[in-house]
Amino acid sequence: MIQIKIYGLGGQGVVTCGKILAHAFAINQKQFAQTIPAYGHERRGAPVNTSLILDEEPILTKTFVYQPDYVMVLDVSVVDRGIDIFEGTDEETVFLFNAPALPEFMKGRKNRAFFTDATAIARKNIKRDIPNTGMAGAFAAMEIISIEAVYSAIQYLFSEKGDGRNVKGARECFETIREG
Amino acid sequence: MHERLLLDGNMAMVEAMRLCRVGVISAYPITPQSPVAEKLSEYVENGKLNAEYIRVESEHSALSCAIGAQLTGVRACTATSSVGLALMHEVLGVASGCRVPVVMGIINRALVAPWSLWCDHQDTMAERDSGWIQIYAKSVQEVFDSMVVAYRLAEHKDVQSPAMVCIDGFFLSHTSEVALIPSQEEIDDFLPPYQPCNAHLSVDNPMFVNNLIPSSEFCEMRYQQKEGLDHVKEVLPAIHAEFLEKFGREQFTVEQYCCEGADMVLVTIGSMFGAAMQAAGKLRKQGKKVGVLRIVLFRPFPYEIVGEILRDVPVVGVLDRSAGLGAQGAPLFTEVKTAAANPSTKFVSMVGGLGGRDLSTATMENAFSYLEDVYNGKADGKAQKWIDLKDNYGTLRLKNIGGNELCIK
Repeated sequence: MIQIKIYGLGGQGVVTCGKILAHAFAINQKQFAQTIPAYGHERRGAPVNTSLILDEEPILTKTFVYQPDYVMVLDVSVVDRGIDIFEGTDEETVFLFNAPALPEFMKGRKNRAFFTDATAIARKNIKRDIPNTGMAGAFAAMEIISIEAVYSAIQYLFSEKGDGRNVKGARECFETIREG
Repeated sequence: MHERLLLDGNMAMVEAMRLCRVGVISAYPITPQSPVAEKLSEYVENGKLNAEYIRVESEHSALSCAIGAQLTGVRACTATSSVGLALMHEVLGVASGCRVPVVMGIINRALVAPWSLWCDHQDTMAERDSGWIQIYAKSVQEVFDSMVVAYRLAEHKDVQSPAMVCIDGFFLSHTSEVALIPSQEEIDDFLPPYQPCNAHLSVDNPMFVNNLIPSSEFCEMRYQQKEGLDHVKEVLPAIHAEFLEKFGREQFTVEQYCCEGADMVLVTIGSMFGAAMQAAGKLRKQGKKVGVLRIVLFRPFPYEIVGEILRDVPVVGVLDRSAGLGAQGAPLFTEVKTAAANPSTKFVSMVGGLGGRDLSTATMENAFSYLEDVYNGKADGKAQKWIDLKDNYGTLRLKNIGGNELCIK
């Protein structure tokens, strides 16, 4: 079982990012996945998160993720807004940031951490600063979900055909993600 | 041949309504039910569902329209949550009393006050004696399956009572997971077209429906309703067997995990079952004899089955997702204790998961830990145990007004 927590801001497509990865793993890779969004009083710009579980077997629990193996951060500013992205993590937890460089607060930590500028890539490809499809592509670099499965999930969920703008963004993030 | 889809609970409910060929929809949106109302309207608009969609101004009207429509001989549907269900209270009795087998989706959400958008069961528990069947789902797949089963059960000639399929707000309604959705042909083969077999509206055969009834008949008509619900225990197993045969998935009246020979059993309802099972599995590995029981059919309550399973269990904890204020135990507890009236059993009423608080595996482990204290005589278990209450509950939001210190206390 692989547990993932995705943080970001309302409007960035955090919940959809979880759905893309769940769809890619469960439908395209024919395994099991579950995503439970933690909704607040929904509004744009407020911190939100979603819990994602990937497993080879059906998932029985219907609860949030408390000890993530992976933490994806779609907007580093959630940390300044009082969100503890390290909650429930340990040294083995892997971090993926939507950022042009590794955030300062990761210095001195032993965790593996990756980054890609998904917002800049989204602005270029989809002309909007919504980094969710890009970060879904970036997650494929963790080699749990194939990039092809992510493309198919994006095409299905966004009714996009072939090499559409979201698929392009996902590919660019997949190719540019770096370990910091 | 089924389709393997990633769906959330709301969409699984919509797919069930569509495949069960509802002909009239009257719905009023409310969080977390809104996606159901929206998707159904989209399906009617794009022709994926051949139905009339009635826009109504309230939940009271939503159910009233559904009842009127179904009386003309069509499967009618609606769905709601929380205060929407509370506003339907009067009309719930009309549906059950007129023996109109409407199937309604309920996305469980806490009742006011304080306002909450999130899950607990007080909305449906408050309607437990309304004459409706109540089924509580544990997964997205079961949301779909329960809806299909509910139509067969509610419409059965010996039952003729409306049914609520209750799904936990957000923990099921907004949780996406894999679900197998049968084809239209498969559902048609399981669920025949709707045929009214009691009161109905027809120009060829006019009749009074829901007229003023004197005391000379009222009691008998209420008794007919009781008999209808009493028939569920004979009718439901056959429907479940046919469902298993046709779709390959077992359906439950109650579901057990390691209850046989257990020292302690935690009784659960709804989506909390998985976390309770996971906690119990962990404790079993440590050699602790714990089990979990899930009540799927809450109305009519399966007394005999629950009584039989719990007969020799020394400690039974019952975890309600509603408070049952002023009662000795919350609603599920009261039923379970009545069902399993063994004087040597210790029953513990537990409350948790209110207003959307997550019933995590860790919380379930705490619940079992308390049951173990009761089993070992370290706690008497007589007081209601709120398993996820914070320590600062006594000072939270209390203000000093007019010199009266903590005036609410």
